[in-house]
Amino acid sequence: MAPPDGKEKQKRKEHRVHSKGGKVTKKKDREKKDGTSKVAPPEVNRARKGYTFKSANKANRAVRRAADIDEKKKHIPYVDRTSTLPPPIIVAIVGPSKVGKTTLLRGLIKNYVRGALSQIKGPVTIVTNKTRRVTFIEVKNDINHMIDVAKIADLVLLMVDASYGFEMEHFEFLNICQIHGMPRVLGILNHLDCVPKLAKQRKIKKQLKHRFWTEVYQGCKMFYLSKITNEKYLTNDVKNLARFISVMKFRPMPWRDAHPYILCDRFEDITDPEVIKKNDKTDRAICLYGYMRGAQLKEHSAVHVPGIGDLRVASITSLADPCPFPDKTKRRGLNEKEKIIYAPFSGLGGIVYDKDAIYIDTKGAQSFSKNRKRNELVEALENVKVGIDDKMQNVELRLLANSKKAVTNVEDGDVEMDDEEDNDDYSLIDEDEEFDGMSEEDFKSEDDEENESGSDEDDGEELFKKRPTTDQTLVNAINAPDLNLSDVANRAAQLYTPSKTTRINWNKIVYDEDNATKEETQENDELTAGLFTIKRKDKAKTLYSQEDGFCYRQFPSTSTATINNWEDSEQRATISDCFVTGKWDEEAAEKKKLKDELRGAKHGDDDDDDDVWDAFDLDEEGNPLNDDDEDMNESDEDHNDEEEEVDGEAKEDEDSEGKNEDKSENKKDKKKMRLRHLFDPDHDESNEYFNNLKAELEDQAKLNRNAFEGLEDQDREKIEGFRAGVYVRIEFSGIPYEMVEHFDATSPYIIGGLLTGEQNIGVVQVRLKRHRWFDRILKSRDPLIISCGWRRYQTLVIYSMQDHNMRQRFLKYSPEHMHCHATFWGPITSQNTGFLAVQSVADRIKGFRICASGVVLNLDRNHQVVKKLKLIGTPHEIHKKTAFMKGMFTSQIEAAKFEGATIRTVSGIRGEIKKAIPRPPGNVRCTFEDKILMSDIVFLRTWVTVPIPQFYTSVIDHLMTPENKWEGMRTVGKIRHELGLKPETKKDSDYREVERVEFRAPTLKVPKKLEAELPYRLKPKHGPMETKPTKEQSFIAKHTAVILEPEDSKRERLMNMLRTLHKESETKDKVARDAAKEKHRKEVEEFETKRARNIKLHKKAICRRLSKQEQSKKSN
Amino acid sequence: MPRANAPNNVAEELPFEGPNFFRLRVCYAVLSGRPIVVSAIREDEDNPGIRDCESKLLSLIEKITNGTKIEINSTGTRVTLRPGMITGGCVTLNCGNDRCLSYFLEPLILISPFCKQAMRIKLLGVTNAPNELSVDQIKTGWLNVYNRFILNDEALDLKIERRGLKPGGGGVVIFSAPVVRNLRPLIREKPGKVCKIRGQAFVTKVSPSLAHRAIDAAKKTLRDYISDVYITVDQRKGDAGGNSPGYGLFLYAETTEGVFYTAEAISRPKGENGDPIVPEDVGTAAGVALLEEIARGGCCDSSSQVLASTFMALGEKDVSKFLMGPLSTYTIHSLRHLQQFFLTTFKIDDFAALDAGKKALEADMRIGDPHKALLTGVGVGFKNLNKIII
Repeated sequence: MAPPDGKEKQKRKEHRVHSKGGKVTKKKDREKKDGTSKVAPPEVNRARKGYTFKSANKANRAVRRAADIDEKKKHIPYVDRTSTLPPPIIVAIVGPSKVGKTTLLRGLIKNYVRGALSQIKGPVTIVTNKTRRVTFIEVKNDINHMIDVAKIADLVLLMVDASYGFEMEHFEFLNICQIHGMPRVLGILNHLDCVPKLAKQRKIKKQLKHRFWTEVYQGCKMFYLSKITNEKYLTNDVKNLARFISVMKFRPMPWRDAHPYILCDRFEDITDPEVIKKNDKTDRAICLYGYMRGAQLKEHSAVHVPGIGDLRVASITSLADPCPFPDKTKRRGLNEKEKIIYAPFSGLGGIVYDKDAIYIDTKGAQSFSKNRKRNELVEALENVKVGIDDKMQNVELRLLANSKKAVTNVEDGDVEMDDEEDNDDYSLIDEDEEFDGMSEEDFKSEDDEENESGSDEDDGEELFKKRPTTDQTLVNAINAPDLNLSDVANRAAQLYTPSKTTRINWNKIVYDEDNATKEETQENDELTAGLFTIKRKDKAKTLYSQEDGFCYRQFPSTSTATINNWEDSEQRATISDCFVTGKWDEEAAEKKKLKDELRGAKHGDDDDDDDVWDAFDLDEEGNPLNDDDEDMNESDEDHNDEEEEVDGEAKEDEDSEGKNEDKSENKKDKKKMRLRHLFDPDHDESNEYFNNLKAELEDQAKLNRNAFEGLEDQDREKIEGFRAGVYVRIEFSGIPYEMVEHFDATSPYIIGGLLTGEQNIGVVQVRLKRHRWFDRILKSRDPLIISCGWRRYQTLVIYSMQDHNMRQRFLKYSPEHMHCHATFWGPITSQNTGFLAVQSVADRIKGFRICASGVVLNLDRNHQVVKKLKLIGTPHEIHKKTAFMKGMFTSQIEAAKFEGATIRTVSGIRGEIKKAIPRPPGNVRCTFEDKILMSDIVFLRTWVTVPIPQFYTSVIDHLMTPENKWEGMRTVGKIRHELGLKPETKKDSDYREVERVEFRAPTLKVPKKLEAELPYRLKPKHGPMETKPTKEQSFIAKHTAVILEPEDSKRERLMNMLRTLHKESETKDKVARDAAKEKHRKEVEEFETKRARNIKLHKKAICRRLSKQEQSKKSN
Repeated sequence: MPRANAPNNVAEELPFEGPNFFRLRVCYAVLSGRPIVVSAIREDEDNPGIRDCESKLLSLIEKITNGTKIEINSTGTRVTLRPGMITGGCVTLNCGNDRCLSYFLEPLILISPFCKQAMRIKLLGVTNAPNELSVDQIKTGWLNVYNRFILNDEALDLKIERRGLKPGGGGVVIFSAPVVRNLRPLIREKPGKVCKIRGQAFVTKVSPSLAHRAIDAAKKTLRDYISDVYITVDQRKGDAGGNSPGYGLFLYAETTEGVFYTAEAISRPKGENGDPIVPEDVGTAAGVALLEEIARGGCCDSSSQVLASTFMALGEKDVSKFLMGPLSTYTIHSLRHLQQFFLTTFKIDDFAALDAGKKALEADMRIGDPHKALLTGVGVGFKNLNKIII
């Protein structure tokens, strides 16, 4: 380093004076006070535009960008239809075989609850959290199961063997998921410890992660299971995974929101064993259990069970939740007892079940010490000392607490215990302490069942009549025969008289089956005072046999039969408040007043009168109201007062001062509002529409939740259906015995609800694209297995392309890289539903199995796909412009179909088929726009409809054994392949060598007349006229000897001699030339060889010298 | 090994009996896609089997659907209907003169929002008939309930080209409706107050003075409530008046909330025997009918209760609320049919038992019939499966 120059001083860092901060400001303030400020006041103009934009373009772009970002954040709002009690989320563990699915499931279960399950089969439900329950399900490496699970899973744990990488199953499953509404996917890398080197491990991780991201989305979470010890993953790994599961959030999926579905976790065959004993192949009745998910399911609705078929629900009952949430007390975690595990398929504990309740014994899985409190249900059961039958014997019915026993013994059977409807408003039976263990409902319903057979309608009615509500006016008001119940009734009547006004139980009138039947059965009674005042022309006619459309004016509830006398002033007054002139309730009046005021303010300016308010004006001026009614008058006066006030206000407006004050106030308010809106993102004006929509949907969601809040569960289920989150038991009948016989708990059993119309079969038109990983193109009419909606089914698909005039043109094969339309016969599924197709589910084919995917576009009963048809015929008779055509059709009937069709010759002469002629069959009479030639070929171009094969069969893999898999229809190609057959060839279709005759253009002939008229330069030049010698001439020429003159002959001879000489010399010359050429060639050749030899020698010498030089160099 | 078959027991037919509610059954069958069997149609009558109007209705259904299979047995007492998909489109049908056009319009209206192509249907026949719902009532009463369920009601229209009375008929109406994907849930709990009464007296091939007489009588009946009563005269001559002479009076009341109550009265058809009717009777009858309708109240008039309840059931899976006047027998049965076809059950509260109703009663409001019914229900999640997506 050079020493610093002595002359130049080292430059030191300057001292920087603080220009900001507490001290500086203080100093400045002080100086300001003193007036000793040194700092010049800042220039006014400097940095004036500091915070505004300088370029309009940039500003434009910035504004647009901001708007784009804002817009991107928005999702289409939807009505939140999730129930308040969420069902367990379904976590599916998916992956090819031998990736550690079962081990992971074991680990996860162990993480939540103590005590391992000996063998895991089917879904396992665990309460993991205060607000979350999880159903784990392991998915076998079977495409049927993968498809089913993709439709219901909320979260997918996709297991990947890191030492191997991704396998086809992974991509297949991801593709299936994408089509059926993407659940959340969590990739899990396993077997990382099989990769010895850490660097390689890292590389693999990175590679797989990026591949996974391209498949799912950028930044998708991947999880790594680092190690396996003792057949278990590290506790921390599993715990972390569990944490991820517990915080996972889910986006709603339209299909699942609209359809109810259940993942069955319990199964029961309830067929009468006697029947099975007689015939073990009889159809079965079964029960499936599970949590309701998605939308609400109603009783008797149509459902589809993938792998079995379409079924109608025989009955649904909601059961006690086997995995209830803990109490809503504020505690951090769950205690051991609250971490309930429920997995009937895995044989978790003995299950005791009643018709309407399940009792689970977890074999002490959760109870470690004996003094721990055990399951209430179990305890209650143990406490029961008397059997149900005994209780039934001794049961007593008390209608009210402390009342006499109404019914002492049920055995008689003639006294009805209670009616379901009677419980609508209040419970008739007091709670009995002994029955703690069982819900009261159960007990009642059982009673009902027992007594239903012996029930007598009269008795039921008698009880009815005891009811104090005014249903008794509706239901026959016949005096009840005095029973010992009468005093009870009296008491009840005293206690339960809610209001003086009568009440109508509309629900009962509309939905009560009794009423429905009664009205038919009792028509001979004089029912005029009863429910239905049916005006009958013919007394014998029941309601159902009357003419349609005349009972609009019949009102069973009101006594309008006694025609109101609308002349009567009292009668007229009963509706006086239905008019604007009548009395308003407070809210409405307030609203009206506001409107009036607004109008009053407007009044001065313009006379823009709303029709609605015309009435008032008239009232004020003309007052045509009658004075009979005081109330009406009063209200009117009130109204007038209001009007005056309004007027007064209007006058005030003229007062300028008041106006100004008002205005300033208004201004302030406005400013305030504006400011508030500025900081409230929801009040952004640009988002007004979006926010309004969102608010509207939120209101609807709130209403959906609250509308039936107060109702009893039973009624609610009737109206709403069974909500998500409820544990239900669903009964089916008519199930093939195979289902029970081949029941496999490890495969998912799903019940998917069908909406109205989806139970039918029709023609489905879809937009389809062959999957780019599938290695073949698809052929029309080949069977495909399609998964669409809940269903998996096989059908024959016809491919087509839409022309510009919306014509569906038949395609023999699906396009390679383009979308096309496909049409098939299958179950109707709503538009925009995604579907995927596979060719076979039975055997494991190499490569990617999903061959196509797309969405449903159109549903109908038939659909026209057409293909081009070209019929060729030839004329066999021509009269001017009419021609008779042969060879186009084979029969007269066929030909008759095409009468009126347009035809065309090759040369472009257009025509029409007029009539099919009887003989010879298939011939037609046609007319053309010009005369055609016999050599012309005539075309008929038309479209012919391609029939859509009506083949549809659902995949019934649940009815098959694992060994004997469902295969379905095979393609012809596959059958041929299996049988080792070659496709038969028609001789006709073989290729042959094409023999083409060389084209010879005919000489141009110009008619003589035309030629004569042509100018000379256009006339064809023929050279000297060559007149062909006539026969005679040629004959003469042939036989005429020409004798030359002696001089001529001499000249001729000379010429001949000269010609011969010239020829001779030419040949000689040629020979000499050739010899010379040959000689020259040889000379050149010799020279060349010599030269080459010399060059070679030369080169050799040079090389030799060079190498010698090199050697000498080396040796040196 | 015998191969198992997939069970399929969801397509069984729903059995019904009797000719009443035939339209409802057919219409609900078409909408729900469930096949029906209606048996015992006028079995015990002298003239058994389906009538002309019913067969016309079936043919109309066949025209606006694709793939519908209808079987009628030889006596006509049993009809099997396997519905297809609803196509809609332009259709013209001569409906005969034995039933009013409303007979055909009602099922059409219920079906109309769920077509493949927008419906535009021209019906020829009787537009107004005694004891039946008239085309005017449908236009005012029904369409004003209908438009609440859809977002854009531009295409919704019922045009009365010609008026035709019994017995000659000759009326022409054109009904057009939009196609929707799904119906909106609706909350209609406040009927509002009647703010205007309008009406139209129509005369076909008779003197317009009869109409004026009827109007005077109606105005007399409607006195004292509000003064905003305007009734016009619709005089039809020549072809526009159809083939039969007659006159009638159609009235409607509109409330501040846009609810329409309709009523109609009509002269006796020519050639029918009975006591002579003077125009004053017709006017009074119409007025009384309107007052009764107002007394019943609710957010729709009594005839369109069917429409409201059906459209509520056919909505998305959201809660709808609708206040209706006392339910008519027809509505009650339509609700039962809805339960059978669509498995929907409504919660029906008596208005008098509700808070609002109680308040009204306490305030001594005189709002006509206290037993209005508040229908609360969840839609079945019905979607237009017929619409084409391109």
